[in-house]
Amino acid sequence: MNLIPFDLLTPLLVAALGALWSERAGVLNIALEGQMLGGALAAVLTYHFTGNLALALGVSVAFGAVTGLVLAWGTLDLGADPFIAALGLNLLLPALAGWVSFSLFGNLGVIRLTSGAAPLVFGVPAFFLVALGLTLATQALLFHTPWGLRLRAAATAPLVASRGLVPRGYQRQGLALSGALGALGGAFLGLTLGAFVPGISAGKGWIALVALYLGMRRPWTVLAACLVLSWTEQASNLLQAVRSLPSGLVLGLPSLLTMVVFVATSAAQKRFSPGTVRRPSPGRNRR
Amino acid sequence: MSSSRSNPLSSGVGTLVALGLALGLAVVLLAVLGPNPVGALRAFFWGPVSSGLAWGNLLNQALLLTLTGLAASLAFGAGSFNLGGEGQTYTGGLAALATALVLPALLGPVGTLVALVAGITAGVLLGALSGWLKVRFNADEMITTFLLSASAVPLVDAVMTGPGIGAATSMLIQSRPAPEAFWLPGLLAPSNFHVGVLVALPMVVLFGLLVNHTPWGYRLRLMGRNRDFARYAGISTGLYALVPMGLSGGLHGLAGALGVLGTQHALVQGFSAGWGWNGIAVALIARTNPWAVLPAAFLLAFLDQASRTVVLQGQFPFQLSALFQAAILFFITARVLPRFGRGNRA
Repeated sequence: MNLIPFDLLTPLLVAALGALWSERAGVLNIALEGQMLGGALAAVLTYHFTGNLALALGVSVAFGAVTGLVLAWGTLDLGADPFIAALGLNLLLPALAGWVSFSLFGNLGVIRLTSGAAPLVFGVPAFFLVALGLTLATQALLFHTPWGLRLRAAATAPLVASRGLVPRGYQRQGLALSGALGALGGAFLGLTLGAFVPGISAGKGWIALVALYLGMRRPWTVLAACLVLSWTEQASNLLQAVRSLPSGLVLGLPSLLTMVVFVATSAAQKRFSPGTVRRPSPGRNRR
Repeated sequence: MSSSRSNPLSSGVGTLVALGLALGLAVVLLAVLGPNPVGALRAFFWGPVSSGLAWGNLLNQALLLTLTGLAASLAFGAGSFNLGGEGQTYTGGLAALATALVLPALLGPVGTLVALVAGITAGVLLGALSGWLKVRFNADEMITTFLLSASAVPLVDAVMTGPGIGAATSMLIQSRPAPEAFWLPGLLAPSNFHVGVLVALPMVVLFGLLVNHTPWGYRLRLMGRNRDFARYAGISTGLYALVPMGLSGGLHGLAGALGVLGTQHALVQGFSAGWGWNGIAVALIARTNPWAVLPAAFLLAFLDQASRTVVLQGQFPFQLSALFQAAILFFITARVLPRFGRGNRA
């Protein structure tokens, strides 16, 4: 039992920060699940062929940013529904991953790295320190710079933002950043595991959205939410070792516990802030 | 953000454009990447209708997708997102099988009916639970349906091989078979087709009439268009959030139960994988209109069977259907063609 389960926390936190950037710009990014998977593949493949960690992370981030821009193109320029277009990306990216894997290795299965690629700094995983840095950077950029203010304004007050600003541009940047962070989360996942396996993201992109709302859409509280969710996952991983428990119960437990936590938080938010709209719903038409 | 847009699912030409793009993508991929473009295209377009067996599989899949598509449409139409179709279908299958194992075989068709109802009930409970959590605690149903489904699937996997249900000897991970007395009669053997899935046709009529031609359906569609206005108009928004989710879950459960009693005759691991997500794609192509669900389901089933044939005949190395569905979903609500005067509406 680790107080801070770094390997579980880091990918989730980075992806949840990705969710935060898009949500704050007013377009919730549902494609995180696919972007994490794609980012993991990009990083593992690049590391496999070059052995260069920085390059692997860079390729992964660039890939994620491109998928974010594709989503922005679909939703902002073509007027597609952000929710539905993102579901499309969530289907497309695993299919593409299968294709790439098949073209390169002749199978749809596992790509294993010969050596793990998760360096330690003073005994702490470097990826976790990067994730902490990103949390700090998100807080600073989003809440303490004019750019961050404008990006948030693009979501909360389209009319205000349109006085001399272009909300669409900020939303595009939010989606690109979101995709980049989602992919980076996936890269951390794959490189820490030392392998790419189909379905590696395993719902983490969705859990990142849960963390966003649990964390009340602010960076440090999102960090706290991710910590709670990774304790949950760690607890169910530990339970898996208990022989007497049925394995299905244990495998289903993380989602179930996450749901309980989510419902409890929703209930608390409903109770303590009556009459406030919790968030702009993705894909849903309010007016 | 969404204040100036009309309902993304209710308007226009986008469907045809998205379908055209997806089909174009298919043809281009087959022609460019396949080892034998002519053979690949022939297998793609001719394969799904080339024999009784192929027809049977096509009809079976299309009618199952009609059910899950109707399920997704009902929730979407009322402005709720049901992303739990996978778990609801799978759990429906488990409930039907468990019931069939318990009932005495001499009940015959009555037992089949009871098992189907059990499957429906399981789905209703799962769907309505998310609806209730939304009404009671304001917990977003998009998240809760997904999480409930994600926890239900491994649970069903575990029960399937557990005591009383698991098969003693089998190469597949599956349960004991249901008593033969409860099997739904097959059609076009040895395909997957059976009489049970025909129930999808009256379902289309039922929900087509309900949604489009009754006050209940009008209020449901009003909920989907604008929940605030619906509340302002005095509609019980709680009820109209709960009931469609329950119905949606029930239709998913029915699809799962039919798969078990008609095709698999046992609970086979992952037998319904993809039915829920594909149902969402069908609902979107149909723009949540129940009448349009039937052709949309046939189209997706054809694409899926076509890409299966291409793979089976060695004309192409991997499944294309995910790519088509991705392309369809990505473009279905997009304005690929410029439309005029749109800014003045809504």
